[in-house]
Amino acid sequence: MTLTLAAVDVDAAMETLRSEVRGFIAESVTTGRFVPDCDSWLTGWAPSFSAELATRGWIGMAIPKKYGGSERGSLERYVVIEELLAAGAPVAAHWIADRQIAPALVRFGTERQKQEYLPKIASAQSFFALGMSEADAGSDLAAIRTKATKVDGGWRLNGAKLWTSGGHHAHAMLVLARTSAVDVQARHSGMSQFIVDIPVPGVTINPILLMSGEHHFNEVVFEDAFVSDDAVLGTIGDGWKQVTAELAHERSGPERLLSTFPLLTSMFRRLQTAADAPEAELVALGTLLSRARSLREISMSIASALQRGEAPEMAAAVAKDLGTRFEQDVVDTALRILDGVCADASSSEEIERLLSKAALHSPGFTLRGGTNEILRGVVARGMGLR
Amino acid sequence: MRDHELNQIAETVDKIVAKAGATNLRAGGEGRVDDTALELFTQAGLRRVAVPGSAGGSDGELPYLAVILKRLGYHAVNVPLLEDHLAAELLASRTAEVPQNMMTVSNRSDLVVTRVDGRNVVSGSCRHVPWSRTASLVVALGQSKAGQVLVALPTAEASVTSHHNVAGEPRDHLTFDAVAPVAKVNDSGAVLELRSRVLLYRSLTLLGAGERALDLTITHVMDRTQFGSPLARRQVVQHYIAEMFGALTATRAACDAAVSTLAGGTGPASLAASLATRIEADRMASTVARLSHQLHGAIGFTQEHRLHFCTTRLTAWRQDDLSEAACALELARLVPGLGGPWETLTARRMV
Repeated sequence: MTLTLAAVDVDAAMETLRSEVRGFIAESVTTGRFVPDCDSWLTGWAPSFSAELATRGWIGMAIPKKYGGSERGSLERYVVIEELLAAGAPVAAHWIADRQIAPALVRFGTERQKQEYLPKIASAQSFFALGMSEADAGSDLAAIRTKATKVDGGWRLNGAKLWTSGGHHAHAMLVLARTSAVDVQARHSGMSQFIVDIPVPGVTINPILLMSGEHHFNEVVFEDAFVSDDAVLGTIGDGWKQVTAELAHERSGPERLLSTFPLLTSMFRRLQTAADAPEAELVALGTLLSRARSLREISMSIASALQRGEAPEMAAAVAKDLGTRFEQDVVDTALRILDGVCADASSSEEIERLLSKAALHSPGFTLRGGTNEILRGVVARGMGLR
Repeated sequence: MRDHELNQIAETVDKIVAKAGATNLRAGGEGRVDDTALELFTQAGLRRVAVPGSAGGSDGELPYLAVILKRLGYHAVNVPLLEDHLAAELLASRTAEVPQNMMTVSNRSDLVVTRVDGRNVVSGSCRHVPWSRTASLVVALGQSKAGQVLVALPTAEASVTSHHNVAGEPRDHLTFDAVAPVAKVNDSGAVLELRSRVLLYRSLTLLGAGERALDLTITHVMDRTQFGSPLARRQVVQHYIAEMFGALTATRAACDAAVSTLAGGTGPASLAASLATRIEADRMASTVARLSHQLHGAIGFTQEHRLHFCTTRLTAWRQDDLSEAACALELARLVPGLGGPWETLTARRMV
């Protein structure tokens, strides 16, 4: 039983693009356009930085030109985002729109929806949040209770979404809701997706603070919120199918292995400038780097498979399971080997700041986007064990 | 097209092993070269598949060799093809003639090259040399005044003490006392090439052995019933299997990328790729050997079950060439020269 993933060949155009992005990043760090941070794809909300990227054509790279994208394909998009993530650049504002919403709109959206949202996503003027999880529907997403009821000219939404990233900043939200009662024989049927512009009457957004104290998560409450028929994404009743179609994108990207890479870079820098770097510490860093290399190869080959139109769900599950555990092990290694360093958000030392952020965000790595236990179940199913 | 060719090579290896009847696999005994299989590999042109035709090889590409090494590891077949191929490759572009007899390699040596009466002589020892008793020459690293060199030494001139690894494969110690080398290569590229290649090649055989251990384990957990249902129904069993599968997927990705890097030439980037790959293979070997035994229970812990043919090799091959920690230390020390950790990861095809 093996997973066949073709190694990706890097062509000259991609390497040119890579050096352009790298040059922009170096200049941005020098001029203070951003300060490198861990987990910056989730919490680095910087609309002006997103706008800078958009003017360079680095957002909406998978969006067709006629909708304002640069249509450069998912491998070139991969090069851009991995360079930004490795450098810890703040890309959270446009992240969900660029990664998930744009491909979903291209695939399932109506012409009106495409014309309305895609150009704004590509120009970093429309940021999205995802309304999926609920209080009683975490790993078991089919247990959602938010309901959409058909009314004249549209739908009324009632219920509450929880742990909604960036909901308090977003211009719109893609909401998964029940459009018919649960069928115990087919729990995954009867769900639909709606694009909800924010703010809108009947939608209240309440902060849920992270354990670090940051405001990132939200509770989004719907009380008879009205959306028109135009807001339905795809087909009523096909919500689950549409959500899972994008799972391979969501689970296999470079953000599933690079969330703590700025900390790893900082550790290398620290040990290499030390005259007497202890061998055991270098061994630990060399091991982490070897893991990062394999994970990047897996992730890139999945991006390439997605570009060919395949949906490697099992490979994506493996990528996320291994990648997110690696992200945590970077933090654990830092805690284990860095003597005289203290995780401290207010420190003037970069490594202490990075470690503080990474340590407090670390538990989330193996939870978000499907817990690793769920992912191992996906792998087991792929192997015919269940 | 390439995939089709590679599949054909894999099938040929599988057929040869089936035809040879795996006579080498004597549980618990001392491993001997499977002469039947070796002869069949030679006839099929697979023995020195990626060695230039001018040096008596088959002129194939590195991915061909990679497939063969992986399948040899999978079948635990006692054919010292890795060692012979590597020795032949190293000599091919650097010496006038490449011997057709079997050869082996060693990079665990303390050989010193000196000039005595106007000629080179080599003294010192090589520890745990793979399959040296069936090799006429050993290609090894030695120290000369000018730095590290490669020397090819006749095994007949060595005093030998007999040793084996835990898989029963011969790993003898060879001691040389003022022996004239058959060849001496001063080129630092050759040293780098030996090290890059041996680490990658061993990773490929480890990958094959790991794939076999997983296949055996999947079959076992589907067949074995306890508490009224197959083991495979238990979630914890499924998670163990997923963990093995993940480790193998990572190792395979590492190997594929390193094959591609090495095919582009030898340099610090290829050494970094091989070191990183070997770390992944060693980590996989640890996970896969441990979990495949755990899931097989007492059944897999016996000589009569074939699981140990791959798990003892997973254990033994981790100890060849360079330890995982030594690889990691060297990799970390290469990073500044390659521009930093991120630049090291993205330097794949720019050797």
